[in-house]
Amino acid sequence: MTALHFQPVLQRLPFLLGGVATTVLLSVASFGAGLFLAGGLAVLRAEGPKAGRRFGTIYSTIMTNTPQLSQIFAIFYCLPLLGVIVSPFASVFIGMALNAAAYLADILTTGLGRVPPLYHDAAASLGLTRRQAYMRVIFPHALQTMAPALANHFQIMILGSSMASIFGVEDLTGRAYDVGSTTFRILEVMLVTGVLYALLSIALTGLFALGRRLFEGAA
Amino acid sequence: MRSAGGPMRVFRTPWPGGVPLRGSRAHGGPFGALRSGVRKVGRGVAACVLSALPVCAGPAVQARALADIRASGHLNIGVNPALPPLAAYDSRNVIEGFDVDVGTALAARLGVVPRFVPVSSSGRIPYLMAGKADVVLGGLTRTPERAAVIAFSVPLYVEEFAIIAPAAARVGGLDDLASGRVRMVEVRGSTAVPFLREHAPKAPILLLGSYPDAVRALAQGRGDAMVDVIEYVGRFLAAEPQAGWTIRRGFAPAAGEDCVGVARSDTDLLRAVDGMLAGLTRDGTIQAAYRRWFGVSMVAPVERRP
Repeated sequence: MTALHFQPVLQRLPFLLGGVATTVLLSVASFGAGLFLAGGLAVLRAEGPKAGRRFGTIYSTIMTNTPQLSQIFAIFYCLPLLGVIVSPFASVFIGMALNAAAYLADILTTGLGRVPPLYHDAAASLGLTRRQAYMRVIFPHALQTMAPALANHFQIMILGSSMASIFGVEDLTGRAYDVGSTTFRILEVMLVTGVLYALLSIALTGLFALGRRLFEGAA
Repeated sequence: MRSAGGPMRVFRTPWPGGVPLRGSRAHGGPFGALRSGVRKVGRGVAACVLSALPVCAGPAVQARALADIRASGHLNIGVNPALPPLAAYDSRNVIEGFDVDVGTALAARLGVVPRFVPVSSSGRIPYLMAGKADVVLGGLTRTPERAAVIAFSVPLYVEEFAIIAPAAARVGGLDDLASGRVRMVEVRGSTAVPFLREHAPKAPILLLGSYPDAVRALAQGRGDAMVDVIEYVGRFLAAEPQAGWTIRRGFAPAAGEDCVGVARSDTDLLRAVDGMLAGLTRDGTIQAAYRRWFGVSMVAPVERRP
């Protein structure tokens, strides 16, 4: 019989919360960077030259059809073969951002497609440049359609950032394994970690919704 | 700017919130769908946590007793296939190695069939505690901390730490590691990690998941040195010959004793394993298996005491 003992794990809660900070930083930064890149890709697909559109499609196909783990592995272990050593955190950040860019670009492309062509004409008739039209009319409008899908992908990224521990990042999962390997209370550690991820995910998606509402008010 | 509000049509999706279709928006403003999505996720999490509570509340898992193992006709043996020569998959994808020979001999003496369960270094103790393995091997060093949660058999063999470093890193002895100048690469859950935290607390440690990963990272210059048992790591060093490995041993006084791990509640099984190991030592089975897989005789004669 094995009873569960949470005391040794709860004693190390501050250590685990340090990992939460890394997880937050990693998922928020890579989502932000991914969204920025995705905006470029989506506009390239909608407005760019033929070669640009083709590039966007090929990029999306490659990145959405290979595991994110393989992509980060390539950055972490294959780039050093070319003499480029990227730190563990940066490797995972870059890998997650590049991966997210492909998925988010698909979401943005769909969202942009939902904006009636009339809006482009309306923006042009107001004398807005293409850049102004996108920043002030098209994106804010498309965002309404995309918000649930973006929030959904953000949530996937928070939880998916747990693979960072494989590459030596001391995120929540990495620290959970550390606590597990010193206390041997791995079941308890993983239960506590699961609850921490749930709270984190709820808090961050809540903030995301709040941010969207503020943006909506400003736009 | 908002689209003209039409009749609400929401496509039901497997994810929360649904996707509003063209020309429509969900009730409760454009973010109603998002808000209700967050609420649904919250409810889902609450349901998950609540459903997990009965598991947390009581004694959750149970190791199989000796009688159950005999009745089932098989012994679940945890071995680490990423840790040759203890265990590894051969060219026909069959698991083999020192631990496999020992496990096979134990199962034969119990009169049951061995079933090998692949475990990682950090998975050995959880697998025992969850009842997924009846016994675990995989270079399980006896430590007081581990003895608080699982039971150890008499020692199988003795192991010794070495400092393994690429030639370019110019790493000296343990003093060098203690200075904090040397960046260490280690495997999560290995005994080297607490050893370093005690003897070289200032040394930065990059923790990776497996020995191949750790050796590759060292060879690529992500770290300067690794402390581990050379008998295990030796094979992986051959994959990165360009690093020109230097190996320094004899700096740590006590070698660890590697044992068979058994759940603490399984006292009958533990006694049986101890008895069988004593028998396997008397008839030379363990010594022969050690010579076969490590290529040398055992470093130190092992005292078979509980």
